[in-house]
Amino acid sequence: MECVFGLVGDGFALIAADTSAVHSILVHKSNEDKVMILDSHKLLGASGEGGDRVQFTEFIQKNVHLYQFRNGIPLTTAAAANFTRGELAIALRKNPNFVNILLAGYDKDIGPSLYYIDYIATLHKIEKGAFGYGSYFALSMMDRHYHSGMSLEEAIDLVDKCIMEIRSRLVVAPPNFVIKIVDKDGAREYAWRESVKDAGVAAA
Amino acid sequence: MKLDTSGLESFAPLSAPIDDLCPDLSAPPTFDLPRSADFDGFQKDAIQMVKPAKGTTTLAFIFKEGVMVAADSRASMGGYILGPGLYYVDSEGGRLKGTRFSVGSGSPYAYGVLDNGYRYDMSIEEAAELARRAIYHATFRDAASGGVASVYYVGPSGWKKLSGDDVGELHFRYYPVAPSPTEQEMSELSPA
Repeated sequence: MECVFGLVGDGFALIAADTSAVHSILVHKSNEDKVMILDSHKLLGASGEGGDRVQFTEFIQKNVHLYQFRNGIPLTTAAAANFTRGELAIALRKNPNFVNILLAGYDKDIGPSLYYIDYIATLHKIEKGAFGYGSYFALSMMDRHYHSGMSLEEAIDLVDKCIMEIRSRLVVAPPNFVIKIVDKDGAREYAWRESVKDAGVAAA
Repeated sequence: MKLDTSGLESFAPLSAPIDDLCPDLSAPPTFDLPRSADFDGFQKDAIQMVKPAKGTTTLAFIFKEGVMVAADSRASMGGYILGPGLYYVDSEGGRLKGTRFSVGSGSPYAYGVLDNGYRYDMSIEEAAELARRAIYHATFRDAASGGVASVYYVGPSGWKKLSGDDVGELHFRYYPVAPSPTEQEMSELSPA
């Protein structure tokens, strides 16, 4: 039931993900952030089973940081995507990671880019993509309304259309979503779309 | 082969700067420690505390005064509670940071009572009663939960066991049995 989707716009890339942490019939958390800020100009949106999502994405994040410490320069988005796919491929026939990833980044001379990496280590460079049951609704919405070089306003509007469609049509739809953006100024949180607020939250 | 120790190099200045021009430069990152004489012992005790409390309904929540932990006493499963924060960790490598969790076969029942009664600014007694009540309701409905409802409080000066009540006794405390009219009539009969 986890949904992650993303798209590339004019000078930026967006990733949106649901924020429910679910265990069979129980919702343990409804404000779990699944879009990791990989480094200053990269986002990693992940959906997948239990421990795999957190453990694998943190492993990738620490290795990306390590490369930057050792070499003094950050990895390009393409390099990070290929590294991630490589790690998934190596583990695939031994202890596979059930994580689906959208990796968005901004490189100075290349601009924004988005990579689709699924749990069996498929890698594609894409303009728009989605994972999870929500993808059944998000992909056709994006196919219909997306065009290259969308402004931020148009792109957020499309993301909201996808979220509304998921909320209204998916049987056990996640109530809350987080949207993150990466552009020349870096990777950051853009907005939350909440329809259920966690009671008595003391900034966990 | 030369060992690569570049990762050990520190970029912080060797001695603290005396001048006021850069007051923030060498301030090391810090975090609050629990106010306890024996910090390492406190951590170890927190782990020991959870071990005997293995139950199939376990819950914990953060509130104004600290952390409240409660569990029944039947077999298997258990949440791992750590420090002033609260983390849910499972055997599949999952990890969640939050303010309220319940685990085990009885957890859905506990969640309902817990969520409904929860407020961040509760007193310790209110929070303990909420935890106790949530465990009681879970043991009532879940066949695999029962026995004793243990309630522990974790605060700035350490952890403390607040109560350990048999859930059978809790049942009659929450839902006392009113004596039926026939019994009262019988006791009024004078001996012939």
